[in-house]
Amino acid sequence: MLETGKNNKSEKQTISNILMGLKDAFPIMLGYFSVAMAFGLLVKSVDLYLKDSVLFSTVVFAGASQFMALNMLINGISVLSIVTATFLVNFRHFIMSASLSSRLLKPRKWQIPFIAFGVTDETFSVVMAREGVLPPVYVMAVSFFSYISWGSGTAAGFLLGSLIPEALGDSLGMGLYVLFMSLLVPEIKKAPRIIWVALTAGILNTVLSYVPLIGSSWSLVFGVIISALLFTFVFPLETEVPNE
Amino acid sequence: MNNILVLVILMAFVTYIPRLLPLAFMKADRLPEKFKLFLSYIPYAVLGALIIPDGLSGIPNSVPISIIVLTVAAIVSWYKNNVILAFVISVAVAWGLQSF
Repeated sequence: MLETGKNNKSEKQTISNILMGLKDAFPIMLGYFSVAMAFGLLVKSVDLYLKDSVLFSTVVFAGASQFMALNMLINGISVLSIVTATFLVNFRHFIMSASLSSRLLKPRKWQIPFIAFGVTDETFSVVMAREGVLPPVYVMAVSFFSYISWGSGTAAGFLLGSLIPEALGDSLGMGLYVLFMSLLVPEIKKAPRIIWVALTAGILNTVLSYVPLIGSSWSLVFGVIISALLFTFVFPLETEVPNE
Repeated sequence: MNNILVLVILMAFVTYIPRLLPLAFMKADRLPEKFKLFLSYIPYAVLGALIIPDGLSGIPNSVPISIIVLTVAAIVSWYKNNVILAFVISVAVAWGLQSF
């Protein structure tokens, strides 16, 4: 009797975490679907196959680098160069994973590889906007629904072309930046000085992208790290960060 | 094996490893406080760096519309902490301005 009661409770918890993940993933799903459709369409235009487009999206699962790789492929650039560029562009997830791991609530061993696979700019930003510790099932749900949308959007773009009028597609793609803004603003409202952390990182990202050897593939990583370091050591914020 | 398959596998590998290492090997409860503080700033810094500069041209070839849309998103989110509401209103504004 007691055993069933306990199982029921944890099952309910799991279901509510999954539903919370679906709700939070919803804007990502809309944005991903339309951006992935653009990717699928582009794959078709360069005479690759449906399976190639779906392979890219389901095995790599990293937006900007997929567009970049396709572009380099069209220009006849070697596989090694494309892979190196991909590494540079996607290295930013390293710092996100580190930040995420400090907020995860006791993940089980088998969950870690899945959580890691699902770390993107969007899923990371969305889950970290929640307060307190994060249940692994919730994090996995956000990634899962985003992933499904990315994969199916790619196939839809390849098979059906632009289902969505171009202006609406662009607007939904813009929706991902809207998502970032709507995650950031409430945090600034809670702790106004956070705006300086974000602005510093944004400005550094812009400036550093023009520096030779750093370029746009490293500028985000450096901008983020330098900004976070500055506010940790040089200008410690008076108020606690809400999530801490 | 064709070239695309090799490319996809290698890309997947170099993308996955940085995502995995910190999650697999970092023990949150054993980190120094300063480092935890540093990690707690990362999400805000990431959001800032994602919005600036790429978001400013989030609508291809239209910086002014992108900036208006981001401003609308910021205003809506200031008054209502509701991501879906901000998303719907801002995307509608973006669509409207482009069709104009």
